[in-house]
Amino acid sequence: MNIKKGFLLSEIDDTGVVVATGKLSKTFNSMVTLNESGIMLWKKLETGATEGELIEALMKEYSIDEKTATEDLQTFLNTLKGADIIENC
Amino acid sequence: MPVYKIAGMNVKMNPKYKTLKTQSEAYICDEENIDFELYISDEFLNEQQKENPHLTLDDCEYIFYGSLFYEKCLDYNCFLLHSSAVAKDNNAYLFSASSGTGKSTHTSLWLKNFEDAFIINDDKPAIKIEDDGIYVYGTPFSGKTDQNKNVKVPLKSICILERGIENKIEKVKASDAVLPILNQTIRPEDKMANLMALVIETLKNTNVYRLYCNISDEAAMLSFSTMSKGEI
Repeated sequence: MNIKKGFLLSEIDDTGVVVATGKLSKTFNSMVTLNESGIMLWKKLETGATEGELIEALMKEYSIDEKTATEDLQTFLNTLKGADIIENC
Repeated sequence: MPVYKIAGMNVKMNPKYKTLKTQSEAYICDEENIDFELYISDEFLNEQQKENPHLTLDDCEYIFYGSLFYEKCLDYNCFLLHSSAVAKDNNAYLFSASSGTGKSTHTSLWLKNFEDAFIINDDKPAIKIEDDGIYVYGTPFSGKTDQNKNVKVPLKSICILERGIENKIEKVKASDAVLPILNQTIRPEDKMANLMALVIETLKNTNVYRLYCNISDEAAMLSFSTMSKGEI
């Protein structure tokens, strides 16, 4: 599972904004916004984190149980899949 | 080949047709060191003109040199915001919206109501981040009008303009202003990283508002009184 090549994350007042660069911008000309936890997950995804590692990071950062973290992660990943941002999952 | 100083950059170009020649006259300088050269072949302009028969070669030269300029300037901490830029009290106010919304109509109300106000660029001002602040520059590229001035004015505030029955103005969060700004600039695919850095830096340091307005003097009074206060 990885973020497709060409996405660029910028941060402004605790919000992440993701746009496409290069060839990808021809097909993806919108923008995705991320909240604080979204930014954290995005950065970990960029460095190739596995689902297990992402769940662990959520549990640690937000003091939530594994079940909640797993559900939260699935919601996040489904959004990215729906927007055609991640592949190989 | 003449050299022009546009938005603080020394630009070499050789316009052939009247519009670009006339519009850029005020920007001619005698610098020898150039930052970049703008060149578009006759072949390309001819092709574009054939594809867009409603345009003349003169129009094509003006339009495509403008696009090329704004693409190049992304390498020099400078970007285009499709907006009408008006100056008052050495502060620049930018009203941005899609074509046909009424940007120029709104800034013309400023000119009518404030004697000392003037248009920096009526359609395509340049925003440039410099060491000591963020500035708005007039450039020869000002859309359908010739309203542009070779000046540099500190950026005070940006306003996203929308038509309304009644006049209303509200503050826009920086993160909510990113997309409206991106939608009113050029986004060359190989310079998106530069563009994003410039837009983010500008929004971190500039108040952005959304104005719903009709065509009335009150609309201009409302936008000026709110935007000039400069509350973050």
